[in-house]
Amino acid sequence: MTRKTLDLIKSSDSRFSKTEPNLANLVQMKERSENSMAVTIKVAEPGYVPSIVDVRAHISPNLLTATITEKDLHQLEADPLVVSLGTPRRLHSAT
Amino acid sequence: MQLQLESTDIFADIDPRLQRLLERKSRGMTTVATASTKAGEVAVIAKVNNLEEWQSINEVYPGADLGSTPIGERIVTARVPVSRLTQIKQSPCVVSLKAAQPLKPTLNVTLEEIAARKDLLPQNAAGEQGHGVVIGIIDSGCDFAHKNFRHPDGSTRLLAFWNQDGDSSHDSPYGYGKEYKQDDINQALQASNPYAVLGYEPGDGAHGTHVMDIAVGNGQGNGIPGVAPASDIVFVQPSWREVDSMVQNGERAVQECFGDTVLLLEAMAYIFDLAGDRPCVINISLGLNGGPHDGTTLVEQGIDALVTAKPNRAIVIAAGNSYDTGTHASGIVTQDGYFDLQWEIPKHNPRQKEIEVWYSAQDKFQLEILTPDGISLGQISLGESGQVIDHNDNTIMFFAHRKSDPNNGDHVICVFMEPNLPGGIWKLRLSGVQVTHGKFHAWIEREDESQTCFVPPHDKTHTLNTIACGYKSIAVGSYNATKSNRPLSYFSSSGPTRDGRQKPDFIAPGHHVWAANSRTVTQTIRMSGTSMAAPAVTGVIALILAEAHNRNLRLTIDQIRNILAASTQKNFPQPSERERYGCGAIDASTAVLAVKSI
Repeated sequence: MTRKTLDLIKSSDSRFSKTEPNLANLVQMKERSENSMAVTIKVAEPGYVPSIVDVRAHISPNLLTATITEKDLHQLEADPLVVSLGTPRRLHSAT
Repeated sequence: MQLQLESTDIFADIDPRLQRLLERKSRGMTTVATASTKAGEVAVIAKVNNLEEWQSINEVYPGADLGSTPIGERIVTARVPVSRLTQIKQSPCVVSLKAAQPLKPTLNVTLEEIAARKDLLPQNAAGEQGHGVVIGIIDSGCDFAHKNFRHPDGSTRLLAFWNQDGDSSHDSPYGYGKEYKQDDINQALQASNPYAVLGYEPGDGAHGTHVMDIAVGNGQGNGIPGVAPASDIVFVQPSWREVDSMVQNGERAVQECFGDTVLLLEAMAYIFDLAGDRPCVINISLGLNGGPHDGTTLVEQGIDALVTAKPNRAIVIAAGNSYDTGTHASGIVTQDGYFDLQWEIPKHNPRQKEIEVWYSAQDKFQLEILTPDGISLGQISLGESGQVIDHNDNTIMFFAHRKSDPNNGDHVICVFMEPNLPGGIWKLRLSGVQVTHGKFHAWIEREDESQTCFVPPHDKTHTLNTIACGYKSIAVGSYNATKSNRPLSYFSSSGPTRDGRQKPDFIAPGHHVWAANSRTVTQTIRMSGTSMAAPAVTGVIALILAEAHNRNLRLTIDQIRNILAASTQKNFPQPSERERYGCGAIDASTAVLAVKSI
């Protein structure tokens, strides 16, 4: 492997300040995709549900799971009542 | 084709067939399970000069003692992890080590060890072995047809079974998967092939069936019950399909899929909803490595919220098996200095890989990536992300150097690597731009069957399963109850959490545990892991909740934890490893007695 065959392309990471970092990777790769995905959303006000999401489950007054499209992320990032977004992380057995 | 001979650093003074296994393991290949060994294990025959010392080696699962040689050495058989062959061979008591055969104990070792057997529980206990409590199992492979999960009349003990991959319908929980109620399962059990009726295949040697049996099996099939044999069961099989769609570049689950964190939250909410006002404890023998390890992930916040929403609820999580995997590193970055995180990647490594590096919000680092031949690929500052593109315009590495995680305010560096990058030692150079504390922790994500690691020596602390670091969950490590000296299992992960709290909370027998084997109706299989320790604690909590329920007591999660903590056995031979056993080994009898005295 040499520097000649590889290029590092940098960008500002400020677009996804509320999302867990593995999502940034996902979005980078599927930027134009309309694929839906499941996320966990923490909100600042109990009971608040962002209007653009399709709710899956209410875990607590401040926590819900929802289905969104990747482009919805930008709107959720801009929503002041959305505290943070958790993306699916694959689980393994503890054996 | 050009061929090149390369030397290896595999321990040369060892049986060539075992060397071959080590070499295969170094390339990410594993041994398959046989009738007597688990995947990743090998049966060996050994000549030892001290039988007691041999039997006390943590990794050794003894087989037969075949007798003595003329000079007093013993010939023995055992099963050992391939990953530990070198260490075992280097033990002073081992004269020689070759390939060999099996043997077996049962789940009654666990029951006796934690005083959960019926005759060991307090007399006049009102809990009736967990009666009235719902035990939720979130895992892969539910053999509802195994006799250990059926009543004497053959009907099911499952209140419900949610297969998240089943066909969705209008009444699917949260809109997906298939929920089978008790009547559906009982109807299936009438058929010659009940799995076909439900359209569900648990698979052979299923993890979930084994875990479920430890917590709640009634022993009707094999004669040995689990810890809370009178409790009711709700099982959730995590979705494979949902996860598969999220996995990049075609990487798939190697054997079984255990879902993801969003599915897990929904599974927990489903079980508690279904239990209603009944006492309920959920077992999660699943996990992952990467994350902040401070209890702030949303899945951990969700767990905390669920168990505090009502009394008589608990969630038990396996502490993880990463103590000896070399997947954690830590260090100090000084102002204007740097620290090289060295990541060892074998040649032809077939899996996608991830690292997370977490550090204080008070500091500012810069990341530089150096290839195995020492070439810098560039630098990533705080707040930047980057990707490395090859000559075919494919992204082969992705970096995110994220400022102020919204859940804890700390900074995190994430590195994602595509499969089959050049093997060797990759360096992540962390430079101190603005340093107040300088401390960092790094974790390599779990990579089944091809785990990469940091260059030794390894920091074995902070190796907990990420989702086991919450404030209200109960994390369980493993020890080996089949050994007279009760050693901690060599794999059982160590605390503390990154924010300095003690985890795991407890330890329980999780090494060489025999419990229900799926697709056999009555048989058992041996498994090891904190996966097997967690359900023992889950079962004990069911006994506590049943006792409390019968005495009209409602216990908060803090009370449940305190009862367990006050009843632990603390006489362990490795006091220096407190970070691995928390409050100590659980004792069901004392715990139930504590409820009686409330």
